[in-house]
Amino acid sequence: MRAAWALLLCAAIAGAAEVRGKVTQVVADAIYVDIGSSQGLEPGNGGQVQRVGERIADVAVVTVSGEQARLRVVRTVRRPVVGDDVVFQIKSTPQTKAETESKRPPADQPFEPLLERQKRRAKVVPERNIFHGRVSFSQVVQSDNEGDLDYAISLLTSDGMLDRIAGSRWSMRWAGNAFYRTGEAFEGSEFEGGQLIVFDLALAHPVGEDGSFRFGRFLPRTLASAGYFDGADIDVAVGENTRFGAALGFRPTRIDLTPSVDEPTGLVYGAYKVGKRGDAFASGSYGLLASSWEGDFDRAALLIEQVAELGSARLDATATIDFDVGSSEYRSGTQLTQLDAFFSWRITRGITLRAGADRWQRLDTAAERDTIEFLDPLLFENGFWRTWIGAAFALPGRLRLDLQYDNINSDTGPTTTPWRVTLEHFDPFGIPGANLSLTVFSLESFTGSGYGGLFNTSVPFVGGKWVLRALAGFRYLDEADQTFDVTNVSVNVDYLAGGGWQISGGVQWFGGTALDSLLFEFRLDYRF
Amino acid sequence: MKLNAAKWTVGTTAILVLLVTCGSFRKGKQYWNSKWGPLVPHTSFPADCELCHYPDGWKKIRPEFEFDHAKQTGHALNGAHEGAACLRCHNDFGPIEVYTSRGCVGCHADIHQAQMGNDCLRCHNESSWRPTGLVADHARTRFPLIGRHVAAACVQCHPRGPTGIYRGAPLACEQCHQADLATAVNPDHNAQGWTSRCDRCHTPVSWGANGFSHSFFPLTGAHKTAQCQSCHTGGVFGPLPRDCLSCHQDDLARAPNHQDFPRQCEQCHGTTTWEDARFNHRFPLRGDHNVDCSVCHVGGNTASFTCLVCHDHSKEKMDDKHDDEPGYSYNSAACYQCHPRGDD
Repeated sequence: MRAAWALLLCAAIAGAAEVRGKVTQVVADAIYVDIGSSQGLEPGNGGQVQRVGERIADVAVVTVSGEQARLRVVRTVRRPVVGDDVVFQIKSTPQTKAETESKRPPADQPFEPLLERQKRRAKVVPERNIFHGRVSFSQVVQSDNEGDLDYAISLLTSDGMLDRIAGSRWSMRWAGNAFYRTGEAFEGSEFEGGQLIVFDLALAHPVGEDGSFRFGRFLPRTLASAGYFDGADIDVAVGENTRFGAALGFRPTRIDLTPSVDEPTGLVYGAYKVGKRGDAFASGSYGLLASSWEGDFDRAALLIEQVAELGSARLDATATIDFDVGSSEYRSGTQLTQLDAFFSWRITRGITLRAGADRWQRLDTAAERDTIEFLDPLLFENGFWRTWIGAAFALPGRLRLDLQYDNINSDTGPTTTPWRVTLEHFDPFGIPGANLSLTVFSLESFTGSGYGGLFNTSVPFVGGKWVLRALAGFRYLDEADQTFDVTNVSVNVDYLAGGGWQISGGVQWFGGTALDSLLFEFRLDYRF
Repeated sequence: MKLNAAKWTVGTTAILVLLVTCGSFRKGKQYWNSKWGPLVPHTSFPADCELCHYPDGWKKIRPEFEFDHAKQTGHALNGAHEGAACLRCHNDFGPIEVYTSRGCVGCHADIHQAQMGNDCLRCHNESSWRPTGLVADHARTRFPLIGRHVAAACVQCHPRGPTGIYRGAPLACEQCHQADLATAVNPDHNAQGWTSRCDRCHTPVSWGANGFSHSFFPLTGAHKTAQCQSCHTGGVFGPLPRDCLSCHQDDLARAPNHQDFPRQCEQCHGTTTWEDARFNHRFPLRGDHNVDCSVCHVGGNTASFTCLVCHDHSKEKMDDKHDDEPGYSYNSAACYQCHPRGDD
């Protein structure tokens, strides 16, 4: 208050004019404001940042342009944030409108604010071989009372990118897992021993402003339902809001993505976006997929991915419609083989409603049938429909209540209506970042019903370097002439060692009706 | 557990721990190696380099530099995103605005190939892709995890799980348990034609005796440990008569004084042993009624009884005694109707 009076006094003496603006950016030790030379600011001017009339920092103008200025913080009471007021007392009289117009750059020299994207490339270190990724190793060992669930799984996983290879605009991405499984649970099965799965191994090059070309092993980003390709794809922008793309190649085998030439596959797609996010927005991708299997036309499908936003309501949907191309043996006609539609609407800050529908059906194609070891007509049942509704309520005391009710309907399985109720507590006991949740849910099987509960917590400590995760669950099911109960307890600890390293370890116990198994887990992550 | 698995585990873990301890813990978030090139194509950055760099050295970012992603871009970086290298998202693979509008799958290749939908947060969170609470989440499927299924490795039921495909796990037991079916030779399941609907006899607890459900004829007492062939003679496992005598004819023949006993063995015997028979005689056998069975059940026929053979029960005396009783009749059924406990 005293400072405000002092400013007013100085202004009165000097005949200065007050210029007010807003803080638009806070970056490191600099502040950007939405007033500039047009309002009379000049390098060296001193002023104040105010919040609700109270001075929180003294600032000085460093650089200035027409409608913006970069300020240096001279003294701080509180850290300025975007939206704070900034007040300057300018000695010279404000410019008239004519003067301001005359100082603006001519029309053929567009105004370039300080934070505008640079039109020229600054001479910086040559961009070459930019290498980022992650490697992690995990080991899981389980020991069981009867022995048939004894197993050990070692997993080495890595994903990442090598960008600007040798200074060029070529880049490479990779992602893959290497498993080694052993133990009685896997004895004699196809999963015993090593297994290498490559999800992504592709070279890419930009096409135009926003397009790309790539070849190798990849999953089309725009329409993931197309599955993996060993081939090439191109994605180009046509106009600001429309894209087109195509992919051509061979589909790897379904079990472990081993390269194969049995299933040539092609995809063409278009994508669009309209509107503005946070207001009314929609984007979607629509593709046509065709494939053959060992020389015969096998599949034609329409792939859909759709996002729509209206205010705080959002719809996410993916769908696959398979056309009857004569390769089906168990079904005929066009089939909706996959659908997942999820709608959420944040009604108020404290209430969010959601609903969805989910549909799945196994593909009845020669490729699918030929890759199933024990072919059974039951596998080609009509699949299922699942619909659900739910709601989340923010409660006082950093609590959140979440309710969900499902309805699962299928020809071969039971029609079930599981429900669940979850109460979450954020930052419990004043520990920032901690989380506690308690869930109760119903269970329904073919011949019985029951209930379950789950307690889950995550607690960071030592400044977030360590995270303790604990879980305890209980399930009870009453079958026709028998009851089953299962209790599981797990404790895991993550240590964020710094430098990109993270170490995790934990133990999990399952106990209950004829069940007593212990699982140890160790994981090491390195991000580079 | 095979020993080689344990050795392999310990060995590999030790090597990796060694690598970590020898590795670089010292490189802070602000460290940058010029060989890497700029982390993000700088064409989209402010012209004022001093915002991030020292004027006299590019290799280190200003320690006080903090790029508030939420404020600067309107998109908050939470969980693992907070520590991710900028280039993982801002790169030459396409416009980030388009990708973010599609949610997680815009940047993260959806290894589930859209079969699980685009709402990744149903199972995953921003801190880790490793889902927790999946055992509970399985209650939302057509196959809630019961019994030993809870502790099974996912790939045992989801053979395409390692490639991200979890849809299509069979609902029928025999699809996953082909190996168990092939080794079920006592009795020989294939010979008997028991190749489906395993749940008729087995429970999710175990394939062995503990998990065997003979619910259509509960195996209690001595039946529990009996050999299947004791009842299912000749390898015939079809439905058997449920009455005791269909299997226990020889026992009846050996039993003393049972010639005239009813053929419902369960009226007196339990399933544990023949000796410990207990018969709940509805008519109290006490006092003058504690007599040999054949006194009332003439000729050993327990299906009928008589009250009239007793010396006390002469018709004249009874008629005289009951002359005030309406509906009185001198026959055993009438006696029992008014004197179910044998007293006055």
